[in-house]
Parts: sequence; C-alpha cells; structure tokens
Amino acid sequence: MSAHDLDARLTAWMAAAAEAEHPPAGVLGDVFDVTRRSPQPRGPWVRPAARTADLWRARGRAGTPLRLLAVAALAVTVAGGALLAGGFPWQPPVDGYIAIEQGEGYPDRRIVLIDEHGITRQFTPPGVADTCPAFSPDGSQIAFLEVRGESAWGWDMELMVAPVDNPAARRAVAPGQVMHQAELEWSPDGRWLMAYPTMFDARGEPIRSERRLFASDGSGSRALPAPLASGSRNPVWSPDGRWISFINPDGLWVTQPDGTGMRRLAAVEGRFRSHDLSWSPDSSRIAFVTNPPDRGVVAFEDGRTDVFVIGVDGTGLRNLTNTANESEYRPAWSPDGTRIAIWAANPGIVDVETGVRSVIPNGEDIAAFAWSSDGDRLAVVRDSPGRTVEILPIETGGPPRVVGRDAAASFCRMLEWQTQQ
Amino acid sequence: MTRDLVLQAQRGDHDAFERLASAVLGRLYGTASLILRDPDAARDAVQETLIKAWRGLPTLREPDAFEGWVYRILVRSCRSAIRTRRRLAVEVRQLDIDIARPSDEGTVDDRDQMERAFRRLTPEQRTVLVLHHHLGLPLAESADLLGIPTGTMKSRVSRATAALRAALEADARAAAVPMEKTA
Repeated sequence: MSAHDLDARLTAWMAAAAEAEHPPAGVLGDVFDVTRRSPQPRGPWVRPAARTADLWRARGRAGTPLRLLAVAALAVTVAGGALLAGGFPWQPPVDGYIAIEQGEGYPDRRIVLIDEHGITRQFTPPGVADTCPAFSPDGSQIAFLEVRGESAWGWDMELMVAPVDNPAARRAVAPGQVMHQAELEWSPDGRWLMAYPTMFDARGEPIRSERRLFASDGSGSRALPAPLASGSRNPVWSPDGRWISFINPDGLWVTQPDGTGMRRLAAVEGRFRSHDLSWSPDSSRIAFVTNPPDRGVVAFEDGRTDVFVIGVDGTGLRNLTNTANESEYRPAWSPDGTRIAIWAANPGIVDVETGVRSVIPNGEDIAAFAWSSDGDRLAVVRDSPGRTVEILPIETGGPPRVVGRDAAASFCRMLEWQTQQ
Repeated sequence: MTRDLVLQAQRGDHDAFERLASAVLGRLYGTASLILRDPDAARDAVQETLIKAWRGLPTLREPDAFEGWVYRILVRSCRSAIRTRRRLAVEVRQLDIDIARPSDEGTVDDRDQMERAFRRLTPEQRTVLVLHHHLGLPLAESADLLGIPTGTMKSRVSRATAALRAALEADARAAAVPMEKTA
C-alpha cells in the first residue's frame, strides 16, 4: 500500500469511526449543571501572586521552585560565562548576531545567538526556557518570553528584556503578568513593546487577552485601540513609528498607536498567518498576502495566495507575484527597499519595481529567512534533517555557509538578524 | 450564526453556550474517542473541555476560531487524561486477541483491521495522527499545540504512520496463522 493510499484510508476510517461514536446520554446535562452554577470569570489584569508561584514549579520537578533554579543557573552562567564566552560584556560581532531557538518543546526551549562564523552563544541560561526573541531596533537588547509553565489554557510566559551583550541581566518588563505566546513587536524608537497579556480573575482563572503596549524600561503599559487590541492579527509597526498595520477579518488596516487615523487600506480574503505583513523601509508601502478575488476564498495551501503591495495612503495596490498555481507568503522587505523575499514552494526574491522574481536554488526546504542589515545576505533555516542555519550570499553569489544547526520551529519568527546601526 | 452564538456566550449567555456545546458535542466526542479509545475517558475529556471552554470563552480572541479553539482544549484534556492514566499506572494494555484470530470467513474487514491497528498505537501516536489526519491541522499548528518543533511533529507523524503500517502488516500476517499456533 502506498503512503498516499494509507493516508487516505486512515483519514476515511477516522472520519467514519469518529462519526460512529455517539456520546452517552447525560454528557451535556452534567456540563450544564456546572456551567449554570459557574459564571464566567471577570476580574483584574494581574494574575494573583499565589498562582504565579505555582507556575514557577517546573513540570516533573515537584517541589523545586523553578525560580530558584533559574537564579542559581544565572549565577553559574555569570560566573562561568567569563570563561566560556570571553567575559562579559560580550562583544557583538560586526555583522550582528542571528537569534534562533533550540530545544525540544517549551520546557527545554532556549534562545541561541550565532555569528556569521558559526560561533554560538547560549543566551538562555541552564534551567530556564525562553522563546520568541526580538532584537530591539538599535540591536542592543533582546525582548523575549520566558516560559514559566503549562496550565490548562496553554503555556504561561513572562515578557523579559536583556542586553544582547549581557543576557544574565534579564529583567521582567511586566512582572506578574502572563503573556500569550505571540510575536513581540518593538516600537521603532525602542520605547515600547507590543505583547499579549492575559487577564485573570481573583481565583486565577483567565478571563480574556488584549494586546497592549509595555514600556520597555518596565515603567508601565498602555492600552491599544480596538480592534487592534483584540480580534486582529499580525500587528506590525511602520519603521517611522507613525503607523501600526494589522489584519482584521475584513481587511488590511492601519492606525496610529493612539487610534488616530484608523482606516482600512484593502479588503483581504482567505486565511492569514503571522509574518504576513512587511513595511517598506521608508514606511510608504506595505506588502501583504491575500487571495485574488477571482480565485475565490480558499486556504493558502491551495496555491492561490499572492503577495500584494499597497501604499499607506491606500493607493497603488498591486499584485506582486500573480501566480495562479503557487502560493506565496511571508513577504520580507529588504533593508534597501528594492526587493522582497517571499516564502513559497520555491522561495525567492522579487524586485519590487519590475516584479522579476529570482528563485533561490535548492530553496525548497527553506522554512524562514531574515535579511542582513546591509541587504547582501539572507539567513535561512532549512526544514530538513539537522535544521541548519545558513547564510546565503545573494548579492555576491557563492555557496551557502552553514553557521548553526538544530533550529527549532517556533510560533514566532524562527530567526532574527540583529540590526546594526 | 456560530459567530453570533460565540459572541453571546462570551458575554455570559448560557443558552448560547449550550447551543454551541450541543453543536460540537458529537465531533468532540468522536475525536476524543479516537485518541483515547476508551468511552469513559472520552466522556470525561469532553465534559472537561466544555467546562473549560465556558470559563475560557472571554479569552477567545477570534469568535470565528471557536471550533479550532475548542478542539485545542480537547486535545489538551486528552493529553492530560493520558498522563494521568500513566501516572496512576492503571492504563490497561489492550490484548490484541482479535489480531491473532482469523475472521470466520477467512477475510478481515478493512475497517476492523484499521481499528485494531490504530488501537495498537500509543496514545501519543494516536494523538498526532488525529491532529494531522482527522482535524487536518497544519504541521506547525499541531506542533504548537503539543509544544514541539515542527520538524519533530513531522517525524512523529512519520513514525506513527510507520507504526500503523507495521500494525496493519502484523495483523495481516497474524490472520494467516493457524489458530492452534496462537493458543
């Protein structure tokens, strides 16, 4: 039996088997007895301290507070780091670090920094789990989520910031607030971080989540206008800091952070993923992904999404890829604004003005990419055995250079390249 | 319609929630049964899921994503049930008596064969196959749900599929063994 036949047979059997199972009588009655007596939790923003303390207990290490392990690990790292890493502060490489995640699952997830020579530095100390690294616009700091534990609702994380050259000096930006697993977005001036906190009631039950801005120095937070705060996806700050673009169910929107000037730029259809918006470096245009209306509303896996470009004033809408049989997504504008890297079955780089597309040779297994700050190279992660991190010299040509391995897939950006000023 | 019900339920409307729960009950129970292969455990997982869904509804950011969201809670509940059973060491190994017994007619019904093979998989293997083949979640989304890298999810699907294939082949071989050799 071929693999395809087995898959088809299994899928058909599962559908039939699931349909044949009938829930026993009284299932819902028991549930409604509980829910009728149990109003939905409503309450304050911050998780009660006792609940947070519970989360510090590492799974499978009952009775050992993870915080103590973390503090001990940080001390060891600080002491040992001088030997291992040539002393603190680290000297970031001239071309900047590439940040990736490694580790099987969240309890063991860590952030690793790699330079172009393949020298690796452990950003996350032993005994701690981190995810979703995001370099600050000036490249001096990394915001990330420290994984505190798993609850019935998902993974509980805390928003942290640490200097790139001294990761042991990590600090909580919003102590006690539990964050959703979501990409972190710095404001271009580095003062704010957009994150997704969850609100809990007094009993520790989550009540809702709303995106907010947190001062990166930990001095406070502020609300974002609806629907940017909730119900929208993929908020991305324009490089000039004036606008935040986001995807709403009915289209591509922009707003100023205080809600001023909110407007829909384009109707969009189909499904979207993270990473699917990218601003031009001069903040004049946005690249986004949608299904051309004449191809119907379908999942992007069906080969019908294209990358579009539109001006921030709503003019100049243009289908940049216009392929009927291939899906393109995750546009990433080059630092000089002339090209857009796109993810597809055959990833490539599209010249923004001419639309000419260059396919990356042997790029079929590329899972993520990031531009170097000079726009000459692309760092990529390959979704193949070894999950290598490679530098592609797209301007000068030449073979890819493997600089790292074992890059973990992440809900957030799989790799980040440090901006150099 | 569903969106309206979700929005009402998010505001604490019990009737709206009960209509939502009734609408998804069958599919939730079917999915839990696939993963757990135990009616009582499936019932418990579904009940736990619906109660968590009620309490967690205000945290649901996209009303249109209700069904996917509630499936995520269900899979977590199933995984929790699997862990609990393992911790309490009361998980009963399935004795695959049927596998060594030729059918009365000398032929094996295709569906029963798949049922037996699927039952021989570990709960983790069943979970990844249900996420991938039954719920149709993309690999990255399934990996996110289980807290593992996409590559690991891909290899787990591959290993689970290989285990299923091996179980099917073992079933076919056993069907050819005379009864006295297995007694």
